[in-house]
Amino acid sequence: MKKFIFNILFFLFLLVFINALISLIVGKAYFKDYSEVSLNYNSYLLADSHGKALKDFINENGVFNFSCESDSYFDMLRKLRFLIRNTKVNRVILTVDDYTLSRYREIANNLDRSVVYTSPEDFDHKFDFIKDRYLKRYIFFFNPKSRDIMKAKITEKYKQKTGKKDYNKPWNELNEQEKLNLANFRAGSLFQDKYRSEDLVSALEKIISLCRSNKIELIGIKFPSSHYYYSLIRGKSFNADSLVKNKGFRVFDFTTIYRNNDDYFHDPDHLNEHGGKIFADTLLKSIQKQSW
Amino acid sequence: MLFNSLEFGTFLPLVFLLYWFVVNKNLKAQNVLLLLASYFFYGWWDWRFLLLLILISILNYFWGIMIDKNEIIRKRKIWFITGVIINIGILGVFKYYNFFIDSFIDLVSLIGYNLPKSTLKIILPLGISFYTFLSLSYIIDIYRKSLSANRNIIEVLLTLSFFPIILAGPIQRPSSLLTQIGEKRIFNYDQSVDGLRQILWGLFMKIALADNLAPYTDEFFPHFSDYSGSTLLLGAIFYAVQIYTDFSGYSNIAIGTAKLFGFKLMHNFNYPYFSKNIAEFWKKWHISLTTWFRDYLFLPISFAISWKIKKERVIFIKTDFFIYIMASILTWSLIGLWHGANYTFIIWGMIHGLFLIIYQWQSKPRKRLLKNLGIKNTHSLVVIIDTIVTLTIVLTAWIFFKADNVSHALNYLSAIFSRSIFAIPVFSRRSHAMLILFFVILFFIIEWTGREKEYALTDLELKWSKPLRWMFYFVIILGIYFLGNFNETIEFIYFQF
Repeated sequence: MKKFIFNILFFLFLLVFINALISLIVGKAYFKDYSEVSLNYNSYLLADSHGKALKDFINENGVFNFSCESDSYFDMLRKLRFLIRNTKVNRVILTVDDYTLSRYREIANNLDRSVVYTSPEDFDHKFDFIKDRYLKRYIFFFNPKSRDIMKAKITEKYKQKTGKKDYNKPWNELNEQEKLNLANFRAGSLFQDKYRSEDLVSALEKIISLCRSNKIELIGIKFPSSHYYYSLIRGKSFNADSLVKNKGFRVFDFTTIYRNNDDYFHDPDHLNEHGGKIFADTLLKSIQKQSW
Repeated sequence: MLFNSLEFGTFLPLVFLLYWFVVNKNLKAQNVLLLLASYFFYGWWDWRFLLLLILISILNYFWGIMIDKNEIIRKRKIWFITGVIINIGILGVFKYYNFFIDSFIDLVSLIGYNLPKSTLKIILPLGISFYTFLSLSYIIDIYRKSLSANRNIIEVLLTLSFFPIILAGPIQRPSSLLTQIGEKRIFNYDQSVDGLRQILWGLFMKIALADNLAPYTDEFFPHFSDYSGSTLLLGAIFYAVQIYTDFSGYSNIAIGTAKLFGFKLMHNFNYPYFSKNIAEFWKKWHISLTTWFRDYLFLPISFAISWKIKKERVIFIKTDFFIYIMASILTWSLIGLWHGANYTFIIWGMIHGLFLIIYQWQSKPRKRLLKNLGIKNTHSLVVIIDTIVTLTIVLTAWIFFKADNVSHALNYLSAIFSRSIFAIPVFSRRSHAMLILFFVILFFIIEWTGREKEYALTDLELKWSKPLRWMFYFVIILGIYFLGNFNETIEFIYFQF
């Protein structure tokens, strides 16, 4: 028995060592910064990487940009519950882009990061809370996202070694074909499945009902995209905007406002810093105008 | 509690430590601990169904005693029949109520009466088919006097609810399990290491292979009209691999877990996809279920029919073969029905039954033919053709097993055999599927090299040095980590049965 326990402990020690190595890579790249939020605002923008492009340009106008790359409605729901618990929220600006209810977004989410905004009552069982909040956070073998980050890091290193690099030219310097290729790749990833995620629909419905029950003004927005991307996804929506509209909330569609301004974009569907700054201004003006 | 969950990863070491360090001196305490752990494990899913499990176990305990202590044949028979009827009745209500009611309503509607559809939907308690069959063998064995009723209620309850096997088997013979439960168990280093290795291998099969194939089969089967014949054929192959790696993976984890507590369980799979004929396949696939049906249904029916028929031939068929046909048809339809309340499962069973009958019928003429041609049965070309034919039958049957209904299965089959069967398969995440396919091939190579053993990695310590073994274990762990599908919790397929 002693030999067995000794071997098990030694084996576990080696696993812990590998875990520590992974944490060095993943911890820095993934968990850092996600938990930064200011509770001194009354309005919050909840979106994914599309919202992230707005940086803090909207903050000075009283809207905190609470967006993060890959945030799904699961994550936004957690954030909203956190905000309701901790501050007074009057308005939530929520992304309702065409792909936000896709299976892609169901899988590519931030559930293991947004767990920092949860409390035990958000879970059916306390063990689920402990599991998600602590075990998955610190034991990387239980965390699938850490695996994806590791894979990306390894691929990046490999590409650096072999000289195979991705496109790194700014969007407006790419030629037509390169732009089209990137737009194709992006649209193909986001709309790879024909059917929407029912779990995400349910999360969005919970967000809507939380806003209604807490008397929070919900505003849906669709972010601008380049015409390369838009021409590929036209008519392919999973209709998150309709869900919000049908519940009586306002939706602003900015999809095509910069279709002729390629210099505003970082890639087919993300604004660059310049575009983000201009869009922040447009967004706030539109909301205020409509509010009046 | 799922074997591939963090809950189980926490539960197992705790029970292991308590079992070997706290109550190790006392067999009774060890059994009580295992019983409580088993109830906790089962109740984690839904405590209300735990009450059902306890009730069934207690009833079978009493029936066992009543059958055993009564010397009068008629009384023994009454207790026995009561036990069988109530066990099957409970299974019938939970598993088949909706099926029979819906079938009855459909049947009545054929003659012009339209009855309202039943709105009562009964939830199927996890593992009910498995623990009911274990309970049935307990009272049948006592009735046959091949087992004495155990008066120790803890031992009987533990036999009927032992946590590694409660959810999806392997369905043990109570005599083997009761003997082990009643004997003092001493920690065995080699057995425990082997158990851990088997658990690791089972986890790899489930998480890295089965769960990665599941999204493809779940996409291809319901939306089959969107895909080419070649893609659908690939989907059927994926399902065949998925169900094997899922269920065999589960069985490996169950058997490995039992080894950690000093138990040796009956094994459930013996490399079935390397079978050269359908009879061999069924000696190697879900062994604990097929032997159960063989011992408790097929053989008794065969004997019962043989006593009734005194003629040499029945409808121009030799009596022996006629008996085989009748017993096979009944047994295989029930094996199909055991899997689920759907005609697809019955047809799945019937396909296997039919091909077993054909196999039996052609085996002698085939031997003669090969002898006349001067070809040995073990000739590699014959083996390859036989294996391909067997796999084709198995694959076709799996389509019925996976399909929602019979017409879905038939449409899927006809969509495979369209012109597009020669097209290059097109579907999303194809490069990922190819990666998984590569590991599936690697997996079958490992299985092939270990095909004489209990599971592919048995006795690894005899072949490899410790550093090499440990490196291999880390490779498997990293394989699970890098390949595993953790995006959704995919239950073991056999949990639905």
